[in-house]
Amino acid sequence: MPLPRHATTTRRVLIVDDNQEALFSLQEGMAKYGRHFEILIAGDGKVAVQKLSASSIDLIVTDMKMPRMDGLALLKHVQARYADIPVIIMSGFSTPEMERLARESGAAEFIEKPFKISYLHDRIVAILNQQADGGTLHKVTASMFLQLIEMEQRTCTLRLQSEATGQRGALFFHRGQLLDARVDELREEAAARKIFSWDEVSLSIQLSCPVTRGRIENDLQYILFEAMRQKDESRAPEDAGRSRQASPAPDTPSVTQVPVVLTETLRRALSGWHGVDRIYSDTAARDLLQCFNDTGRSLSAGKLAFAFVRCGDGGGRVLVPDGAQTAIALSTACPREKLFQELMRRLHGAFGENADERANAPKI
Amino acid sequence: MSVQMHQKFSEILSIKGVVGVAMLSRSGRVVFQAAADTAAWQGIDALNLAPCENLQEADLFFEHLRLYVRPAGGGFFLVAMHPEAPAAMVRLNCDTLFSNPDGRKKPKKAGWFFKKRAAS
Repeated sequence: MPLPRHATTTRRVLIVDDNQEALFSLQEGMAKYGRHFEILIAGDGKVAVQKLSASSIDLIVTDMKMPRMDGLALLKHVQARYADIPVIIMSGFSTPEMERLARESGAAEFIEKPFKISYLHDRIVAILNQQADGGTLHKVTASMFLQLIEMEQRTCTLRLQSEATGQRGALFFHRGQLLDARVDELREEAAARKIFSWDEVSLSIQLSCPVTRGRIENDLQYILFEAMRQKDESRAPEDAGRSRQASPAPDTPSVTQVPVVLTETLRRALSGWHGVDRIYSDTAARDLLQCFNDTGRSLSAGKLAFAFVRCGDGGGRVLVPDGAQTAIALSTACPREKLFQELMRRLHGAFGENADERANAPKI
Repeated sequence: MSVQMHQKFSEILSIKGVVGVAMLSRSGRVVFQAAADTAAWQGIDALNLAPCENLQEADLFFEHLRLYVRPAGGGFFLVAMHPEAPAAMVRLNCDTLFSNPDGRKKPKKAGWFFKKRAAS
């Protein structure tokens, strides 16, 4: 049973057993499946905890009864600190009660000893495959994908890997709400910000979320915004010299800020929106708006309510055909779709059934 | 235009709320068009998107239609959709399409992950 191409390249499995003979036998037996994953070993729960903090692990197979720290204690530790890592419990003294306890404690699988190596291999592959049962994506921008998850109110676990550094992390969503995050030993909002600062990621989607309690208070948009701001600030010293000499970015308006009819109402309506940089009059956009209006006429699409345009690396701007070419400059952290929905809602009156309303320019 | 691109166009067209996809040359010639609603591209021949030359993307909100415009292959790629269509999904598909137009290294798609819910 082959593994699919995952977001993470090397799959690491940690096998924990205090019986050295059994441990080496398992390691040796699994070696022939080396092309699928790398095997690490630990002599008991305590050693496993050390290995977890030192390396990136995808799955744990642990014996139930061990000195110092047994399988259940290890399982509890993993669930509290590494909720994205599934745990298989194995036991040579299996009872129905023990199996029930292991499963109720969150074990992904309970295996009774003795077993064939091929059986353990198949179970490991099946569980690792579940980590991508919602699909995989490569070289995507995390922020956009995450807004999609939030918008669609998905429950899932995302495992992400930075394309630039290879660093890995996990995000836990319940009905679109970000509950928790992890990057190595970093957790909660700090881990989420770390992940959101990655430019391009590969990710795999698991259609379930092992985390049930929210550990992140701020909403996704806020954390995305803060991550972008921190990234910008960390880049600021090196960019400062360049920006003094650089020509204006394509999204930078070439006009003075002029109070316009809609500005104050727009300011009020959009106050509190993350990512709305400023509202101004962009007279240079007249030709573009004319082009868009003509496009709408040609396609019998009706009047233009507003248009979003992006020229350079910035967040782009929204143009409103109100006669004063009101423009709303957005940063890359702006939750675009939410802003559009809000604008559409506010412009709806201008597109009502009443013919008189239709004749008027959009009013916000 | 590659087979992969055609497939991708079909995928975009299958997203709930998308009514048409089209590719225009910079001079306005229609290179490709497909529509779920036959009325979607009436009048497309009259479009002149030359002023959009320097744009990286545009999202136009009309009274009856939302039009996503993306420069592509020396021309423009257009997606016509209803205002409530999952535009973020459309953009994501366009990102993968135009960052990898030949469809090489194509991963298992996550598109259905979102489409499934939209259809329910």
